[in-house]
Amino acid sequence: MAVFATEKTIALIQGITGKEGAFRTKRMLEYGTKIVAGVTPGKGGQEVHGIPVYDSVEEAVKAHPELNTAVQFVPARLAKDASFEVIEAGIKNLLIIAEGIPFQDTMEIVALGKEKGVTIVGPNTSGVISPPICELGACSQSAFHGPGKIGVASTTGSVQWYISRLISLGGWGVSTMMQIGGDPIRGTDFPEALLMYEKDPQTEAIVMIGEIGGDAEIRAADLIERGEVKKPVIAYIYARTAPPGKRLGHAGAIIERGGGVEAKVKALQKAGAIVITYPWEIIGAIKELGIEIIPELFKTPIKESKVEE
Amino acid sequence: MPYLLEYEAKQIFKKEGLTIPEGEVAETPKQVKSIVERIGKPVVVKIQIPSGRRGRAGGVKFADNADEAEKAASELIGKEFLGHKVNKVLVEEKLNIKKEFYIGVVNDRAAKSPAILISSEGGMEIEEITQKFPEKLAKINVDIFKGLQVFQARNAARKVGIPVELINSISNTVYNLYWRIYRKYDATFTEINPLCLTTDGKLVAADARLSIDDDAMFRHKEIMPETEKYLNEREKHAKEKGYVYVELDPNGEIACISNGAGLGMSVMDYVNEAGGRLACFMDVGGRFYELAGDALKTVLTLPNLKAVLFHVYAGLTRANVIAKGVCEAIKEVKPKIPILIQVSGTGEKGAIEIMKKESEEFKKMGLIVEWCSHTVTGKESSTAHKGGVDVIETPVKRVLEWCGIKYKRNPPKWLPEHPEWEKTTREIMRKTLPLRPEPEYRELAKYE
Repeated sequence: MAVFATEKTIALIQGITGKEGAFRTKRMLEYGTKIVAGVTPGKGGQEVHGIPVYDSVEEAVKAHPELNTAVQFVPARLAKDASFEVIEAGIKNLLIIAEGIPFQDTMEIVALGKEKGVTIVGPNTSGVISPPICELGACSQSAFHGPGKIGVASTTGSVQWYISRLISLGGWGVSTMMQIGGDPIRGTDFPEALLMYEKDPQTEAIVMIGEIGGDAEIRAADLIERGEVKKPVIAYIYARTAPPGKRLGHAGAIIERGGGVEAKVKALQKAGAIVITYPWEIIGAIKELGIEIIPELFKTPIKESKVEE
Repeated sequence: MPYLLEYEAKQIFKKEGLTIPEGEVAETPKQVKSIVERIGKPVVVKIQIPSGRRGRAGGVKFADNADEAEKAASELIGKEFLGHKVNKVLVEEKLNIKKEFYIGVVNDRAAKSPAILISSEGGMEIEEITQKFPEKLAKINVDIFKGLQVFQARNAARKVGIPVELINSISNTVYNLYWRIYRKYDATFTEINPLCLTTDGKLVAADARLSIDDDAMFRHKEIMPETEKYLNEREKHAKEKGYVYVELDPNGEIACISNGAGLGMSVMDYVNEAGGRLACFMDVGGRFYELAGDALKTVLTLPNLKAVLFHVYAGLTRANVIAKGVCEAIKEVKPKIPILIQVSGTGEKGAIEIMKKESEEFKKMGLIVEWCSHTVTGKESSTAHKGGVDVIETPVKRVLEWCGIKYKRNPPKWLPEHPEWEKTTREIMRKTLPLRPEPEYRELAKYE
């Protein structure tokens, strides 16, 4: 089944004619993602890697009523407009890649999405991948093997690619990796992500990679404690030595008025989640849960698009 | 996170029609004296630094006349408080206070919406109010589309026991704070603490805090926060180019440049816990991967630098592009200090090819450049390190060695390491990698 990126996903790429949009479209297509349309205002009628480009999302939806997902490669300043356009056009899943969207814009995007029943992942994410079925965004495809059993939700790409790769090579495979992004306001935050994985029959355990700032990890711990998330959760929370008051790369990664790692770790431990201290402890922690590996995964090569340039 | 100093915030508040005390900002005790002579009332002299709790730190002094104020200012200007040097003080009329309140607008991450805060207790930090007087603090979430309406503020004010005769005026102030400050200026948070009722019945913002969303500064080009004036050359340059550069310790020995905040912060943890001195946190990830070479040139100006670590596990970033950019910069700059480049993820194969070829070139040039990648075994070239399970930790160990520090893990007491899990991870990798169809993993298996 997987979540958000599934075999049923039929995608539109916003900003398909841009450098990044075009490059990623090619990689996604090669991976097997179903992409049927692209949108760049003013570039209607062109083609990118064989995908027709439309001037507006509305036109794209008219030509391809089967569209259910939009992947947005649009600069931060234009993201609110582009997101509203997707939501108003009736597409129910939206992935926002841009980093640096003013967070009050994000609040508006998220509020409109909620009103119209749209699932939004991001902003400031490199994407969602359900190996080997569907990749959306800009994932490190080589780090994922599947169909697997472990759902990964992460604020970051970098250290998560490493963790996901170990899970994949270890034989459990990943059901879906969803990067929720490093912004203070997220379309899908840890609690929502955990509930998605809880409902997904393919996912047997959840790995959560979090950071300083905010309280999403603590709210996730509350869900575990209340029994709303019954599947085992393993967490790695980085930036335990962060100086207060400094914004460390992610707009959301700042200790101000709480949001330190210690409180998050303690809340998760109290709720019964496993918290690892170093990323390389991940396999031992999964093994301890007694989840069976998938022997077939050792027979098939890891899928990755050949496009590097 | 442009955090405006009190006087800057107050200038904006005044422009937007909120009532602030009469006053002026000064840079010398002499200026303070003439300001007080002009005001002709008892005053308060407050240090202007980007931090709360200034009063407790001794940074707020009262004076009855110009001479006293001048003396007070001379004890504040140029001194250091809470880790910040004082360049300016704000001189204001001393208010005759009957009662203090707290009002603020914050960004509520959990509700993904703004929230207003009102308390009938003011003058202490909001955390303290929350702890000591929870019943006197109200928080109301605001629908970002409908925006705050005055009745919501009135309801909140009533709930916390604000006297009936003040409910309208305080609610209007909250309304203005929301619309004219928080929304108009893309604030991450703003507060008036204390909001003072004076003996002559006025509501005055005795203090003002305003922090603006970095990512929205393009909409507020007219604001030039003073805190930004004190950026050093490196910070200014990074800001111009648009990548993240956070100077943690100007005399640090290690610069870490990563492609994503997660890896960068993890490395920061391991270096700090091992007793290393990390000079900076730098994220060239996502949007800025083509700037890797520029980032290298920037950190090489750190005075006490002994090693540079490029730690890249790429997704949106492309490891091959980073490798290329960094190698070109190294050839151009010929750094005297050793550099370690770790490149995994998207574009890994291309990055390995580049590093194999270039690292031999660097050797001929007499430069110390070592490298590794997840699927590298350490045999690819004379300067390659094994990756695999160790791909994150090996580079950290190596740069610490270059600084004369023996790497040791020293996680916090509340999060001890789990050697048994690590052992299992390695055992399973040894077992599963030889089964893989990919030759690079089968090769790696021999070295895990």
